[in-house]
Amino acid sequence: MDASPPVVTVRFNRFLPYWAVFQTDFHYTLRSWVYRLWVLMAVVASTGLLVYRMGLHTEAGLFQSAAAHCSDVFRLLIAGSLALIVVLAVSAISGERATVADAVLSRGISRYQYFLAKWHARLLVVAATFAVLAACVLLASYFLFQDASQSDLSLRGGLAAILTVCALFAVIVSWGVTIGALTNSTMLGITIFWLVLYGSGFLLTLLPEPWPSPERHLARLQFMLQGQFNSELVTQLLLGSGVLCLLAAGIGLLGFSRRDV
Amino acid sequence: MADEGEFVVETQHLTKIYQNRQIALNDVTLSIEPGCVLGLLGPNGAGKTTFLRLILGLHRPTAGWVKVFNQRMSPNAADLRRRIGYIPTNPQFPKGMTPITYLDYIARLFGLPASVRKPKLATLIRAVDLLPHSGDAIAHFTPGMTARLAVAASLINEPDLLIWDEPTHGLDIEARRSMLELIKRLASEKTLIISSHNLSDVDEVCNHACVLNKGQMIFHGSLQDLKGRIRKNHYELDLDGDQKAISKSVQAVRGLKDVTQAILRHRRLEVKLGDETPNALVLAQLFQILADHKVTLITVRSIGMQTEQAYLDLVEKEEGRGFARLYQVAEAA
Repeated sequence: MDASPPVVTVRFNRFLPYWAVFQTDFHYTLRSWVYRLWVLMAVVASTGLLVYRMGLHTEAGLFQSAAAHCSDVFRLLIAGSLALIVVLAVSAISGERATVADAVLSRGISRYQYFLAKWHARLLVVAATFAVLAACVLLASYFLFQDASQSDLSLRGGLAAILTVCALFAVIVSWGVTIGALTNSTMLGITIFWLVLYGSGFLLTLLPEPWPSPERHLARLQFMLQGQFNSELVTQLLLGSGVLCLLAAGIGLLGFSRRDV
Repeated sequence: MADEGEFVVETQHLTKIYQNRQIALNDVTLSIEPGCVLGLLGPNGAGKTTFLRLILGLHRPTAGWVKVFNQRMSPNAADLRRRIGYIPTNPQFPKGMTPITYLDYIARLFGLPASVRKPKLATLIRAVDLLPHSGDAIAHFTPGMTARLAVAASLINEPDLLIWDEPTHGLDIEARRSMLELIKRLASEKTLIISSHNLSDVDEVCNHACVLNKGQMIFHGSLQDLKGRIRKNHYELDLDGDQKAISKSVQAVRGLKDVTQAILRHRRLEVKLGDETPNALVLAQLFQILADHKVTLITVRSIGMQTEQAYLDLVEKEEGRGFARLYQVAEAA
């Protein structure tokens, strides 16, 4: 009697689809023109400002506080990056709708995994890029304004400042990805997100002092960099950002899993 | 393969209305058995792609439901999609990928571990004849190569159900022939749903058909049923010989009792027999007449048994029903 061929049971790795989308999106984001433009702009702007201040410091002999200079660069980076970060976040899912998403979502991946992978990839790219750029700015400022910075920049303050800005970006990316997942086109998503961003930014500035406001936190960046900050307030801000990110992800997950692609 | 007795796909009152603006699919109820090769037919905008996307869980039904392998399909039913291989109409690939990286990506989306997916993708690349191009960017591929890659991607998870939307679309004759041969081979071990505009393709590879028209299913059954129910006893004969002899023989054919119509166009004779007429007997008489007049018979075709004609008649009939559609289900369904 012929022996029947052995039945090979394939063990599926349930996390592999998430990991595949995460890795692919991470690499594609790094190679996208929006990301490259963002990094180029950030490097050129911060280097330009750094060289200008250095010139003032060495040629005109004007005293430059490294903390004040870094907080200026940080705010310049945030303002300059916002538009491109919005595009990066919103286009994560909406940019692939009906084309590549078709080829991905018709395979063995759930909508939850797809959304989470995209969200995490964009979050990591934006937060890590800003952290690296900010660390470079801090290091450059430390060495260029060494005389003044010895009593000016603090390591703890620098870390807190980077964390604060990263938390702010995390909220922006989370809501951007969610809005992109819930709208039919990238352009519509970007328009809606700008309205939400301006609206919520305006409302937050109206909140009284005990409430955390991004604007007030950014205004205090200089003191934060000098190590003069209320760690309880920073913790509150980080927790608040975490809650807002999770809320955005929850809405995105529920909404996206009920949508047609 | 799916278990015996279990339907591979089952839909009940499946309806899809897009944003309260467009009715893409209207009350489709059907079941597909294991081993079935279903040809999904219909004009543009009939709802074929919507139907396939509903089966895959890419769209959510407005009403009704879809079951695949006896379980409800939903956007999060990743386990069900692991058993399906899908080719969209115009397959799109992420930029910058090569066949190896793309198939590896797709296999990872199915959760296949490296020990399974690496040998599998190598085998598939060889099988679809993309070995010399396995390191080239997909962006530079011809439509034929793209189609072959899409086939490989749809087979990488060894699916029980294959859903191929217009698989021969844009292919040259040779590539189309290879695709049809592949479908015939796969048909022996898998269940297939093939959407196509090309009725001769469906005729060649499918054993069942489903006809959609403006979102409504107007026929679902075996291909034989579709061919057989419309325009029975309608033949076309290509003749050769002396023109006078052909004309005389046609006169004689018209004289036959059971021939309802005999039209001669150049050297092509179109003959219609009565619906209940035993065709063998009449055709024997017809051939005898041709032989008596020394007319050579080059080819004989049964028009009524062609899928294209049957399909066109169905759609035409459905269009002509008007308000009767409100109260009667389509006759053919």
